[in-house]
Amino acid sequence: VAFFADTERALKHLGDHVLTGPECDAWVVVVPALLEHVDLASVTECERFSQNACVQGGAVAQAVLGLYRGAAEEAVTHAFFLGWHVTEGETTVALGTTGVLVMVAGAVVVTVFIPGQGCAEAVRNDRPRAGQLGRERGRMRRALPPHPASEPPGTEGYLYRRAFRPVVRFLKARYHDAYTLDGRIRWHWPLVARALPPLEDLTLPRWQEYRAQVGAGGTS
Amino acid sequence: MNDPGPYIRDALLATRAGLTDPALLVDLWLDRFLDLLAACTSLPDEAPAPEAAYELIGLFGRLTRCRPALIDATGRGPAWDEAAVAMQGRLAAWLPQALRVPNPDGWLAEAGDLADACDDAGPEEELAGWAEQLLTDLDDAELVAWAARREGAPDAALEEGLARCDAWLRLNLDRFFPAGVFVQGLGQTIRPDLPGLDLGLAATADKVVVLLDALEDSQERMGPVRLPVAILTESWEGFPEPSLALAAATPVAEGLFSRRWRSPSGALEARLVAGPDRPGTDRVRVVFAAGDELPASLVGQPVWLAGQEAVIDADGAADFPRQALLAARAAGEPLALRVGEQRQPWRAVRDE
Repeated sequence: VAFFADTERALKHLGDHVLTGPECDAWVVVVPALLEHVDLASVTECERFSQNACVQGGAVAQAVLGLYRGAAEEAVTHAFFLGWHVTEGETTVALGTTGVLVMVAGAVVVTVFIPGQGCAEAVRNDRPRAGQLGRERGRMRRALPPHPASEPPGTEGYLYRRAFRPVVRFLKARYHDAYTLDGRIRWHWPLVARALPPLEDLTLPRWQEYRAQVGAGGTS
Repeated sequence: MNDPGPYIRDALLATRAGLTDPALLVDLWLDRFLDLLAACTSLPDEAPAPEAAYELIGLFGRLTRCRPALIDATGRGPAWDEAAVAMQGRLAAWLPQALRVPNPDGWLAEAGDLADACDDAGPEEELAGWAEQLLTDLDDAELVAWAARREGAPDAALEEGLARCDAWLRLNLDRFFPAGVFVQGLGQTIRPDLPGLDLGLAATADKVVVLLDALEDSQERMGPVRLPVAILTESWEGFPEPSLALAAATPVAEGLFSRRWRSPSGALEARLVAGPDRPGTDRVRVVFAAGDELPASLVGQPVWLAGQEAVIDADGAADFPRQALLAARAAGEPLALRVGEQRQPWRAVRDE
């Protein structure tokens, strides 16, 4: 499976998802090493990095692109081991244990992102709005669940609460959006919700067991 | 014949094709409800923020409205029973907080924006999410208003505002069509006997009924429909009925009822073939295969058909009591297949 059709497309998705708020916040949780290369808290820095990466054919972005690719490969490996993937026609959607979703069409990765953490407008406009990080429509009206005594960043518990569980909830919530009234697939990514266990089987301890099964995790 | 009630419309394409998954919705709602309730009851003074109280009460109403079989399928039936009791004990205390949240005028303004976006032919995928969110928001508000009435403390201003929202919805049903598959899934979560149990709660589901009516009308106007996807219904249509004549040794030219499912990865298949209901045919068998091979990984695994549990034997087959399946059908269970300890749903596919 090729990691995107070409480097240009890989960089485009890197810019849209990893370097665009607010999804970048989730990427830091999933791949903390990204911060060694780019300050994802700074919209200006993200923008500059993204522009340079494209202008220079990706040379300056190799390290970040490598981390993006590594997260995708790990997600696919976990998904296939645990059965957290669906195939519809030529398209396969896989979800890893960190919440990274990979979509493959034919034999080419076509997108890698963290569902529910991004902003469609920010992606469509290619750039985040200066000083303002967008949010998913509707999340503003939803009460965010209180997180009693949340685990410190860098721990497995933090990864679970900050990235994985919100992703699973988001996918289950958006599943029915996948289809149009006449049964056509509007978009493939929510379909993976059907391959996931019930949420009772995705509690933190169970998720850690899944992580252990795929040889991931450690710090709790 | 079993009446699925007003909330399930087998004539609608997405329902017929088995594209909806009400179990996913119930799983999500219950998880969030239990999570939020635990967080709120752990607060020192048990005084949740208005938004949390609002969402909790909305979820409580929505789950109370659900088919019990779907709650049981989450594996958290006992947890729900316990939490529902705990919630009922707190309703009166938390309602004043919750009633500070709903804003019918805000909803109407945003609904107007949705209508504009529809007129401007906005991106369909965004319209779908937006319509679904607005519908859920209205549902939340109606469920909180129901809870207030139930506690003997109706909020007149909220009721008046919600009446205006409801009137808008009924005049603009097509604005919610982009979320039509969600509407069908939502309807399938609702217990068919709801009006008999709680008329006030059933009133919160009226909008689902009028939307389903409108979706059916629209589909009819579009002419004969056919499945554009190679997915077959999880409906029971054609499932052999018990024969009153008990077959009476009278040969009848009856066809076989068959269904096929595919694992999420697409590598494994399951096939159900059932003949007419005759004496001595008290089991229905589902056979699992990976191509022409017996999938060894599945042997010994639990499997659920329409919520009925069996175990895959050494031959790759699982047998289900026919009577239990008929009872599940009568209870409104879809003919869905879930496999393994994780109860992974398998996808119904066209039987070729």
